[in-house]
Amino acid sequence: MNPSSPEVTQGTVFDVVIVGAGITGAILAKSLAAKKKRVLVLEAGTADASNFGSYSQLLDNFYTSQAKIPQSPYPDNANAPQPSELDCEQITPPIPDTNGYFIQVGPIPFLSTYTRYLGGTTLHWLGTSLRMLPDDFRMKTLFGQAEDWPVSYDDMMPYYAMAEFEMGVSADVSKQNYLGIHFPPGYVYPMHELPASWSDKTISKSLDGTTYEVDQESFNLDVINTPASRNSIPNQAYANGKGYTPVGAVGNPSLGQRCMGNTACVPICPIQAKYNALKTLYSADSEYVTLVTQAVVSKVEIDPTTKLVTGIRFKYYESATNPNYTEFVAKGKQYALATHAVENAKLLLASGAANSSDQVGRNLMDHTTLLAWGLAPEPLWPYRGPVATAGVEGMRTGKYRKDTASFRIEIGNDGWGWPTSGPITDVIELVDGTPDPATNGSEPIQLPKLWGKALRERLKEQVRRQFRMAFLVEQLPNADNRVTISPDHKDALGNYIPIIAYGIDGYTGAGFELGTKVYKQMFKDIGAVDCTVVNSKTDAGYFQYKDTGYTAYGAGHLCGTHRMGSDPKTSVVNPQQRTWDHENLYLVGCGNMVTVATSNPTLTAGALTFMAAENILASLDK
Amino acid sequence: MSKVGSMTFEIAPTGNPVLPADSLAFFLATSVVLTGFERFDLLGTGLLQQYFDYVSTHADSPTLLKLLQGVTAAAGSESAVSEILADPEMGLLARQIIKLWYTGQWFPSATATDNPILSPSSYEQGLVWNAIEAHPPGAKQQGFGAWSEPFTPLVSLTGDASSKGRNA
Amino acid sequence: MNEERSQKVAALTEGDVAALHQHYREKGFVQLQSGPLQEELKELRDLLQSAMQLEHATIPPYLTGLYSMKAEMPWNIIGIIRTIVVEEMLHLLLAANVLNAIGGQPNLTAPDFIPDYPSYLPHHIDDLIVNLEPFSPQFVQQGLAIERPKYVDPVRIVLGDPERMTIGEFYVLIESKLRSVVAQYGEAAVFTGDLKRQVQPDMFYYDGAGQPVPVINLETAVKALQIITDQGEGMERTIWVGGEDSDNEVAHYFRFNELAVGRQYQSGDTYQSGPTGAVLSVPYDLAYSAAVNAKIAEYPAGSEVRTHAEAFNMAYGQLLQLLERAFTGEPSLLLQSVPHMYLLRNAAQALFKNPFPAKEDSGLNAAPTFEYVPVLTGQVASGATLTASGGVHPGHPLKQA
Repeated sequence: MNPSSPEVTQGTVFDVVIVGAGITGAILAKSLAAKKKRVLVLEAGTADASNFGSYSQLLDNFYTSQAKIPQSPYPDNANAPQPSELDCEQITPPIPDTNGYFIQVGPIPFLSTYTRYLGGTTLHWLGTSLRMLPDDFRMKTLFGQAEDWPVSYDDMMPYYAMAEFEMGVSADVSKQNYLGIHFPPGYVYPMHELPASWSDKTISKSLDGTTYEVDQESFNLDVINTPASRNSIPNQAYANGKGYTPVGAVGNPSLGQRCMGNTACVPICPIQAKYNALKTLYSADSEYVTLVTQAVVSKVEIDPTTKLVTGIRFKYYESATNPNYTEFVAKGKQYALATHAVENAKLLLASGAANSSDQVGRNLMDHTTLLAWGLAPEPLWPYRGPVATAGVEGMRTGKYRKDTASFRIEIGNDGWGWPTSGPITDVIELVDGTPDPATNGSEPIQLPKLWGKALRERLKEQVRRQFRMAFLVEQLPNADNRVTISPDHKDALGNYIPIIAYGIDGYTGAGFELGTKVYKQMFKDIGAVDCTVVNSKTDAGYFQYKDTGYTAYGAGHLCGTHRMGSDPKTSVVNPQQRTWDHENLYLVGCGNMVTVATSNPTLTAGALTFMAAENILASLDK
Repeated sequence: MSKVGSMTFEIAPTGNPVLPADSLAFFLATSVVLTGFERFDLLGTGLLQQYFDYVSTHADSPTLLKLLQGVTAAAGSESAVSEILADPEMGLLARQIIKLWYTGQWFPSATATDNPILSPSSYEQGLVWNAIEAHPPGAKQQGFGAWSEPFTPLVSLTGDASSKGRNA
Repeated sequence: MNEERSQKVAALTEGDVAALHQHYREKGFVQLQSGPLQEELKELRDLLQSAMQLEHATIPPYLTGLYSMKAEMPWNIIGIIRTIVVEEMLHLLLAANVLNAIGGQPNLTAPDFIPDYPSYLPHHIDDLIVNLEPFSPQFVQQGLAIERPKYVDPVRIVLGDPERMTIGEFYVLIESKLRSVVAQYGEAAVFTGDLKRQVQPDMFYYDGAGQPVPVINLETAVKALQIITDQGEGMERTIWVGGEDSDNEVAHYFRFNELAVGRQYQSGDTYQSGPTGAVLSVPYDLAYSAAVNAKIAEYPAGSEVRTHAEAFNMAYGQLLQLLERAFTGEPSLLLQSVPHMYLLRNAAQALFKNPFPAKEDSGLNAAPTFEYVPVLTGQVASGATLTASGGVHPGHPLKQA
């Protein structure tokens, strides 16, 4: 499916115009095309990743990036600008941080990013594909917090299965039946779980069987294999014995049908063993899908009387380095915005659309992440395998959620890469002589400058014991965590730039406090030296809760900005994911989520999108 | 022509010494000492020439010459090399060279904010990944399931065969 | 039996020969008279062991081409050779499945399993000498010679002597003999092997290789053999593996031809037309120049290159031992072969980047020698280290997920 020139969008009324070619746009396009609906997909970014030759160039960008951040392979495009992790700094309100793409009002910078390329953020995501828990859909009823979703876990089940097929998820059902998660009898995932890492196996020897108590409720801390959209050994029992064929790299399909342990899931899988949205887009029936890239949507045009969407105005640019553009308006019977939570909100605000509830842009949520890192007593052999293969899931729900955020705990296979840029920083420190990491920076013992065999041995001895844990702490929907726009802030094409106001409340702070206690217990059981450092001066996500400093990191999740609900006064889309205000406008993606709870949201967004596709089809067939 | 130790070199019109023709070999030998890896390993990166070219154009030639000559003259004596590394200029350059081999990245100074990675290959060939028995993320993949077991090199051919199994 | 066959061939009339050709053209095999069951089975098992040796014989040469490439070689050129290599591994595995299915005993650790390059192929197949060459025009020409679709003379099949047959004739001989012995004695008498030895789909995966076919009867045996010949020289009438409506992968011969001619095949191209598609630029300078057919003895004693080349050979021997164990009752061990291959890759690439010791002026680099090293039977041996280039995995059975 090659991108078409923008002229082909003219003189025709598509069945559905989809804005955004990330995972949700791709799932919509494929689902609708399968029912012979004519779809137009408009993508703001370029199609670099879809050609294996230029994909290899993206890989080279990663190799030569000095900061190996999620966006490092994907150069910025001034016509479709995107946020970067490097732009995050501490904010001194009332002065916003205008360093990067976002105008960050604070008090805390929003720490996560998304990728504006064909394929979207699934190009750089980790691949973790957990389902939400039944409790997560009913937080108001159960814990008096947030709101209830208008759908339940049981409603979601068939759509989770569709998403697990489309995304190619590897897991064993028998390990995933915890905390209320359940499956239809006989259900298996398309592929067997990925082998646990040596680090997982070693850590689980210390943690399995241990528990943590909160308010007399006991939570188990077993290490559990993580379902992931990453190719593994197909399960021959899948689909009643039909089996499953892993999908390889787009443009090089014999590559990537098994994970080969590149340990670079974030930010780019060299062989595309990890799912990315291009796989969905390129397996859609191209007869029914028209794709236009380098097409930035600037406005959703709405008839003031009927409130129906009459067209999608977009700016088509020839080259990423030149702001010249031509404007077009694309027309459809139905419309769907799939540009991810922040851009969807921005576009709605720019269009004066869908906001009778005044919730558009509000309730922005991430998984604020507590990082803990240490040195295990014996070698774990990190920096191998997928970036993460297991986690501790036992605390994802409990009565304590009435006043404390819950979390899941991801165990990394990537050593200290995330918190400290290890092992490069280890090399620098040992060669140049710096504080011993085991002293936690508190009373630094200056190490000698090492060279030769001593350096090599010390590096081996120390780095092989590195591990990190990431606590994905939930945030509540908060009306003041929001995306807004202003005529004062526009990009090279004259489109709005998101202004973000964001903070971390006491509920999440309590989650960090609890998480800290939990990790200290786990480290003790592992026999690990705690090397975690919170730097109040330089950590962008530094915040205080009850006079203790913590550092939040972004998990790469952006949710909640146009949430679902049963009440048009407090939600933007109805339970069918159609905007309350406009009969022919649907919104898809993480922005629809009412709560983020503790699971990485992409699988849920995928499932929701399959649900939305059915609803759009029903609208078309009316 | 001038001489430093066993190395002869010309003085260019600029007044700086021109690196002698065999300085590449001295650079390799010095790098072996500084990095603690074998010649085979350093040559096995395929980057000797690229690194030498970079160092000789980004470092002070007299300091480089002194360093190469000094490490050569040390003839394996650790204390002699330590003395050289204690010298502010030679030590700094030596550490830059070590970091270059280990990471494929050049660190111009302690305060520099731009520390370029010379090429995609230099990233892949960083010796740090060999030292920690892993692989550079995104390259030299180890194969499905390899991560599930410890990385265990077997005993050297020239050594004994007594070490078996999983103990590192 | 050979006496009888020679006499039979001598007695063939022109009409008989024409009928043989006709039958072969239509059916793809030759109808043979089966001899005594046990003799036939022994001959078949020997032939299939030879088939394993034959498929393996091209792996070190192809790996030499692959691993001599620099990192800057374009991904599609690397992909062409890599895909060919992994398909040869699949062929090795398929041959093992057929051999096991008829009660044979795959042997990959005999001293003569690896050819002593430069070497003829087993049975002087194709009368071809094969070298360990780095990636170069000579490497490509050699690939063409190995994979070139060869004439099949049905009379030679009747004669039944594999010596100096073409590779096509060799596999037709195996298929024809299998069919004849099954026709005479029934499948149950022939396919006596332990099913547990069969390599099942998903026990082996190496990007692009395709899936193993478990062999349980004549149909699956023929299917396995046809995959070998389809992927190699291609089918009689089409260059596309699996027919025109397949994934548009061309057989090995045609991939080498793309490199030789410098163009890609496109839809509509035939054997005669050659590739008429997009230009394919082949930068031979992005591969190391290395010694051809290098031997351990040429590397100075005590040199680092020699130590590492010896370690490589030990590790290669361990791989063959791993495969032998996999093929003699532990097929799930194959999962370990891929990590082992990647360790060998690291080691080989380090060798290719090292100048040939004591021959620095030649401009040639070193190369792995793929010479036989005895490995302790019954266990994966310790004894080799590949220091910075990567340790050799002692082999831990991965729990089948």
